[in-house]
Amino acid sequence: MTEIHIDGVSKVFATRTGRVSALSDISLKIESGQFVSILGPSGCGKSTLLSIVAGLDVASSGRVTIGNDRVTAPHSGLGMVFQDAHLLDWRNALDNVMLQVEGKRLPRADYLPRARSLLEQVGLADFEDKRPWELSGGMRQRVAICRALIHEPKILLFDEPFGPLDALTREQLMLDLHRLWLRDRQTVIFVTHSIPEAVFLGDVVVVMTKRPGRVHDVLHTSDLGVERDLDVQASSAFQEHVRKLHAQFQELGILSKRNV
Amino acid sequence: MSSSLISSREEADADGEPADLSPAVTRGDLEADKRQRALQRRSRLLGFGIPVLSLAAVVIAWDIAIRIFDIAPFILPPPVEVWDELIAQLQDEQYRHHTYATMKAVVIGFLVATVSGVLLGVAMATWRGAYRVLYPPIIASQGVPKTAVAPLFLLWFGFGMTSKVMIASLIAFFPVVVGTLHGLQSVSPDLLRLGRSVGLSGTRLFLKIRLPAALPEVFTGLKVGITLSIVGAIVAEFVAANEGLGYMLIISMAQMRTQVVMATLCILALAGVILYGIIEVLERVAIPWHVASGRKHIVVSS
Repeated sequence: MTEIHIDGVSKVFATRTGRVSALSDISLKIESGQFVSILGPSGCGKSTLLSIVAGLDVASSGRVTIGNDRVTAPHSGLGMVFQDAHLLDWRNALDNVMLQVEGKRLPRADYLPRARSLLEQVGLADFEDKRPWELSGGMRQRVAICRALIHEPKILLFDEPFGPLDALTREQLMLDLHRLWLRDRQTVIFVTHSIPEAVFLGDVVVVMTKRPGRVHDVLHTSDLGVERDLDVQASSAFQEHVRKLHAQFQELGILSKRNV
Repeated sequence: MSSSLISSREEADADGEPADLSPAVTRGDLEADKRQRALQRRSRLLGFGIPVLSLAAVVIAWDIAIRIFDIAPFILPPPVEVWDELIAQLQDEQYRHHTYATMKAVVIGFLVATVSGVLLGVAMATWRGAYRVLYPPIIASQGVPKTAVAPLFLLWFGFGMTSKVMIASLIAFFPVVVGTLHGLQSVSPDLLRLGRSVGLSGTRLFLKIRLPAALPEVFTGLKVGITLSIVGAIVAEFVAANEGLGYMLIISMAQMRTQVVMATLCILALAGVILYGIIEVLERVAIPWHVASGRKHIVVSS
């Protein structure tokens, strides 16, 4: 069943120096329970695409439908994680998670136990009273992930969520996210510029071109299996996907072919 | 296990093992905590000690200068005389009455400035029409010296409290309105996007995200505003009052009682410090997250 249908979406920004085309005619059909990695260089409009799917931004042309609804405003069945955790300094970790519940006018009492259990699952049981500045970068991003999960959304959108984190924390969160998805099977769109991350997490990898962003290729990684662990990265199938993606980015002029 | 989002690395942190160099204050880095507290204690001691020492230095230099250059007391009275006068004024019923009159104008003027400044700041930040209509005259009004407007206020509102409050609030209003406006305008668009993504909009988005994020700047405006409110009240009393410390300053000046003038100035300075301190206490109560995170940054950078 098609859960998210991106149909001919383009986005043009008006800037002081003229009109800049950020996205050009993007069409994707995302099935329910699919994990789609969107891979592209900085400034290719992949974050803009995610914003449009989330209903935070309006497409210049084309349309996005979720289920049977055309997206015109932030959709309630959707959880989003941004590049920065964006926790509110005036709330502790628990209340930052509960922001989603308050925003959607859900009964607070019903979701409080779930918020606590989510924080416990990400190893922050003892930190629910801590303010954001008392947490490390990785911890803050975990709280942000809990905030995206609290209302049990069917769709999760990630906008380079591990970008500002150190390599080890990144690896761990990547693994955590994979396990989470295996358990709950949400439909996920995961925007990243890391090739290994995209291949490891996605069962589909969408390659985007430089601005204006177009869909260059769609790569299926089902040969890696559904359940994956870090060892899969050493497998020849994984290496082959990474090699193919490198070749595509070289073709697109995003990676240079030789060290000059 | 397979369903958890746990990072073993940060678990180690929570268990109190020295794990990594993350900047977060966790139970793990007790040592760093202790060092930080020692630093804070030292900086607090310095924060108190240095002003006291420099004040003492000024007083000593002042006394020596009078002796060396043989300055007449009506030009510059010696510190002892000013001190005696200050003590006398603090105990004097009449001076208490004048101080009360001035402080009443300062506080009421500040409250009027706070309410109108915050409301207009919010209106201008949220409604473009209000911004277009109100911002130019507010800026223009700041170009006019308030001292020059004081006689007009005397004409319109008469002698006494109303004029004083109007002038004090007019001067204190500007930093409050600019602080509020700028605070609300410079809230990170990303935070607002986050708010919309969780389903907030309109008034709820404003109250849950935009306003709290702007509060630190509002308080900066209030702190400048309270000190300017004192200036406004005194200026008003120069021209439009028959009581208050500003009025007493004019009278004492005319009588060449310089030690009285200087003692009164000391009272005003003291009042300014106290009122400013009250706003800082309110700030700590209202936005503890800002004060706490700010202090941490200072310590980290030292």
